[in-house]
Amino acid sequence: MMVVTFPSTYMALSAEKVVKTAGLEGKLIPVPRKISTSCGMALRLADRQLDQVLAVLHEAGVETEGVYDLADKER
Amino acid sequence: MKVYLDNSATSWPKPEEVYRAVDDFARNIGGNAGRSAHDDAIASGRVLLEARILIAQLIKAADPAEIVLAFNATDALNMAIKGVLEPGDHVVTTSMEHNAVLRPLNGVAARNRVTYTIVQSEPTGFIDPAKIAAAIRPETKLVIVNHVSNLIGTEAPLAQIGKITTDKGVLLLVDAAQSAGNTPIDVQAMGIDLLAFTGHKALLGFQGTGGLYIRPGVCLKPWREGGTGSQSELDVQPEMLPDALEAGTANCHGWAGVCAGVKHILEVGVETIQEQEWRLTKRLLEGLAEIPRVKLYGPDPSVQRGPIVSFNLEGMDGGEVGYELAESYGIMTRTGLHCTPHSHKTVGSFPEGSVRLSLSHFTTAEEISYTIESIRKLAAK
Repeated sequence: MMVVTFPSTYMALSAEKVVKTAGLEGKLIPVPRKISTSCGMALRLADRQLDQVLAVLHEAGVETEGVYDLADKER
Repeated sequence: MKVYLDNSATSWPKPEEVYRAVDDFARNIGGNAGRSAHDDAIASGRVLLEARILIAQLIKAADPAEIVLAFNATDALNMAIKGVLEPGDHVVTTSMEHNAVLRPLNGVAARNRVTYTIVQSEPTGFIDPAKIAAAIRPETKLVIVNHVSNLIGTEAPLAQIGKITTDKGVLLLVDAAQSAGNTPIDVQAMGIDLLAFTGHKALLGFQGTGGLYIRPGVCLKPWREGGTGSQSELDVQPEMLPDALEAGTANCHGWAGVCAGVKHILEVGVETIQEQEWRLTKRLLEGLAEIPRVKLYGPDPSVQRGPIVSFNLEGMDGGEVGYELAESYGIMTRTGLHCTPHSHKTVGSFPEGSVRLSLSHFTTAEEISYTIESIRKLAAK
């Protein structure tokens, strides 16, 4: 399961809006504490859409902090 | 009959959708923005995001991230003045400012070796941009200008002032408490670096909402510090905007109302609102000018301005005029000094103050005719 983290709540909420407007999947979830991040929300995406999501976020000027594969981390 | 002419203190009534939005938030959303990641908290966060997006659209800011949310215009002005000024800095401002500018400015001046110059406006409230240019010194960091006077409605020539401050490399802070929502604002075209607004006047929301536009690249020290829901492991205020300046829980239901208010304004159009308000303000000015005992303040009735009129009845205390208008005629006004003693000195109504009538785009022609007639009757007593 892929998640993107953000430097602020503002950026996380903007990301959700941008991703939905682009017709992609994205749900804001609480960030698992094992991930070090600035903001308490992360955007969970469909794994196959990762590149598309990062592209639309970049295009819209939404700053991200990191990308994590939660399944990997858990292994 | 009740006629509410105190819209410059706070607007009333609000559009129907503003009442509904606040009610809907309180009943059906309820979460605290930026503090959790459950659906209700996220929905609450979306309200704040929408507020930034709508306000950015209204004042033509390039990016919603440039809008910092505060609790009122005073909060935003403190944020700007105390955030920007350092020891040794000089400030240029005008004689038409509200105490929300003068008091924080005097506060930093007393504590922090900041000096300031008050440029004298004309008795009409008009501020000459050349006088502002002449007052700027090498150590001047900030120019603070009231967009629309809360006493007489006179509009400052912001674009001309913005050109001067941009050319001289000085920051321009605009107090838009009376103008955001009823007077066109273009922060980019006007060369504005910082703009303080309130949500409960012409933006048609409720008290406890306001904010500050910050042009990218302008750095402000936080004047209010605390929880942000982000970088919680840090013992100090995060540096990232908007969190750096938004410590503490936001007035989320209030912002739901402001969103509905700004949507209403964008649908009707700021220019349409301005035209409609000016038509009635002009009618009010012309009607009052014909009443023998009325002394009007501000520019000639033909000069367009914000929806604000100040007057006195010769031989009658302003407080008594306001009381009589409320008690005998149901007309709500504001009397006294309107938190702006220097404006009263400028227009010639200090220390007695004046009676202020302020309109919104819900004010009707009937209400204005009734008000003129009521003041005529009162003056004839």
